[in-house]
Amino acid sequence: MAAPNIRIDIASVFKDKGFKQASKSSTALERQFKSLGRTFLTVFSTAAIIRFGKESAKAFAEDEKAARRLEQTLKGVNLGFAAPQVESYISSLEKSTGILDDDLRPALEALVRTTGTVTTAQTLLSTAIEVSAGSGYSLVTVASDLAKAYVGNTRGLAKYNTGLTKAELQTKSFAEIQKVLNDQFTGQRAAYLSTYAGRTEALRVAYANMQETIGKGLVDAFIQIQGDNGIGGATKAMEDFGDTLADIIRGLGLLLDKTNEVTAKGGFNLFSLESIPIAGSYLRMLQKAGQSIERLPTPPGNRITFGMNQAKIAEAEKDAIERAKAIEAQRKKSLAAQEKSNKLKALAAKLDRSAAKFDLERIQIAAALQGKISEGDRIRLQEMQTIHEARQAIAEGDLEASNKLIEALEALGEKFLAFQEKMEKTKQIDPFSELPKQVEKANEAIANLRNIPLGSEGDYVQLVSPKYPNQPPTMVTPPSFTSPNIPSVVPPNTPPIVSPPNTANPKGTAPNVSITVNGALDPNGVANQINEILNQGAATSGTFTRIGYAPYIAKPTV
Amino acid sequence: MPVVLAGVDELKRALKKYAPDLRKEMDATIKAELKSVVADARAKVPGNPPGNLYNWADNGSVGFSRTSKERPFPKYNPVYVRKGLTYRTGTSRPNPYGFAALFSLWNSSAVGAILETSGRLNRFGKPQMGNRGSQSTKDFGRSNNPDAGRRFVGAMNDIGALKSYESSDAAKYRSTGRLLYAAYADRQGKTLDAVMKAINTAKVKFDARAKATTMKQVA
Repeated sequence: MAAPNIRIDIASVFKDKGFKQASKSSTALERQFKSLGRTFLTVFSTAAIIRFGKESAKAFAEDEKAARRLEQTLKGVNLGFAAPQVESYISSLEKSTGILDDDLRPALEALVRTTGTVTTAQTLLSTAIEVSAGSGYSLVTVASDLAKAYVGNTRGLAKYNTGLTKAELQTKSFAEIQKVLNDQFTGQRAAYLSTYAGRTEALRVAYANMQETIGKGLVDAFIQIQGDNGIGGATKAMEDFGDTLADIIRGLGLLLDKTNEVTAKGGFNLFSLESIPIAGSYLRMLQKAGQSIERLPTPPGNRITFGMNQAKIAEAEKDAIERAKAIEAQRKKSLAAQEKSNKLKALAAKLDRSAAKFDLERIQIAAALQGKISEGDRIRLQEMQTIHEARQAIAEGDLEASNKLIEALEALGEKFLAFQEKMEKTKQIDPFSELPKQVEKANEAIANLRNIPLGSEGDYVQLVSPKYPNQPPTMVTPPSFTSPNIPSVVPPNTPPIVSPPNTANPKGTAPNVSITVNGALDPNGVANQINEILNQGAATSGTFTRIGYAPYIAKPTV
Repeated sequence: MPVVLAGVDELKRALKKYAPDLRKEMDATIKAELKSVVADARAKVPGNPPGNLYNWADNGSVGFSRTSKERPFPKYNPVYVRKGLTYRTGTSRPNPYGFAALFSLWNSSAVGAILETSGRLNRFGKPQMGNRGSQSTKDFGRSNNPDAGRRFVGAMNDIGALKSYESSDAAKYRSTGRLLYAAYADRQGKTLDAVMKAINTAKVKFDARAKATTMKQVA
């Protein structure tokens, strides 16, 4: 405990420096608050009210437009009389499901257009709402898919993962599909609405409805005020009203501030019109007048009584049931036709398999494979046979067999390439690989020999060297024998290959011919062929007595 | 309530700047007056504890308290008491209401405060519970020595009777004491008059000097 301050102040002075500073700061702060308040009111009062008013009027206009479109759709399917009931249904559905009527109307519109009955459309809309909540797709999309499925086009339902195959979706009736959807998705919307997001969405719907209601009231009021000036005058009036309303709200704020304590202590509702002594009665009158001029929705052109509606509805239901039956009958008929077509296709495939046995090309390949053929040819034939079988399998739609055959074909191709490589290596080490060329050359020389005419005295031989074609031909003129146009296989300046004729038998003796064959070849085979040809020549023209300077001498066998 | 003056600070600053001799003269006059009050108060402090409370005397031992953790009950030492009786002529810091003391008298020691104020709330000590209850309250104590308060206040009264320098009932309580307050009250306002007269004299002299300077300059 601090010691008591025992002192006597004989004289004092009042120092207001701190107070002045505090007052100055307080004044500045108050000024800033006032400025902020003015800014706040300017930004968030007048502009916000005008903007809210415009948005509300716009929301109301769009809502009314959508309602008119649905009404026209109902009229188009002869259900125009049911428009009020449909609007009421949509309104209640909007409250119970938390889905905006902006989404409900086009969904119901699509379903009504397809089914032709409001009752069925309502049932399908309930299913669509559950499916939409469960699958995450928009309500309009789901309703459109259901409408298509109703008339047999079930392709769009595959994306909802119902567990039904494509074939099942095509074969099952719509009632069966709808049952599957109901079993899987019922309760999804209620579960969604219990979540925070669902409650937020419900609030959003309530806000949108409030905006539409306010917009309707504003439009009614401004049209009432402006009369014949049209929407332009109503817009101007709305902006003026926004300014006025902003001022009124400021005044109300002040009033609320001052009367808050009184209301709390008094235990009565200060803002009830009955609580206002004199002005309250006038305001009450204004309220009643406003209610009386509320612009009710324009009634449909063919609005009829409830009793007549029931009859009409029953008639429409009857038509819709008949239409549904017709659609189901058509679906069954189409399904039967499809089944018949599939059976015919299966039979055709079987026939093709039988006919394949008589395919000439395949028969030839099979026969060729039975014979003695080289390994390479066998592989190529097997490839051709596999190609035919693969084509057959593809035509039959047997995917597994097709894959296997294609794999086998690729294996055969690789096998053939390996075989080719192997043959190439074998060819490189074969000493007789050039034999066919040499034989051909020999045959050519022998053919030339066949053209050698039997010489006579006075003939000459012209030797032309193919090795030196640009040099002038060397003319060898034997003293007693020449033979024109005989090509030579020996270079120039070599001894003549034709020996002088046998003077003892100038007409019947063939000249001696020397044949030189270069390169490695089968000398015995060459000799045999030469002998054969020479023997043929000898049989007609005579015999050879000597053959040039060849190391091997072909001697006639006959 | 102290007398509230205006412009004394400015006067003191002006004197210090333009007439330091007048400032010294004023301060000396005021200090002499305040010193006389302090001397009177110090004269009231007895050499031994009043009422023969010899066990209260400061014999160098450090006491302890059974009721307070901060410090024990202070021992009586007349030197410290007299030293605590003093005066200040500097302007103090303003209090929360904006008033600053120009000249003040102080009794700043703990024992001096006890001598000064004991018994001014309950002239016969704190009333005891007696048979009114079993626990002590703010207004009633329940001491094992219920007569101690009365006897202590009675011992303090040996210094002198409680006197107040204020006449109004509202200010009487906080202006009542035995040492400083009594000495100031014994002067019957002469101290305040002397202080005011010194300030006024300095002001008059300063004004006269300032006018004379102005006239000389004009001439």
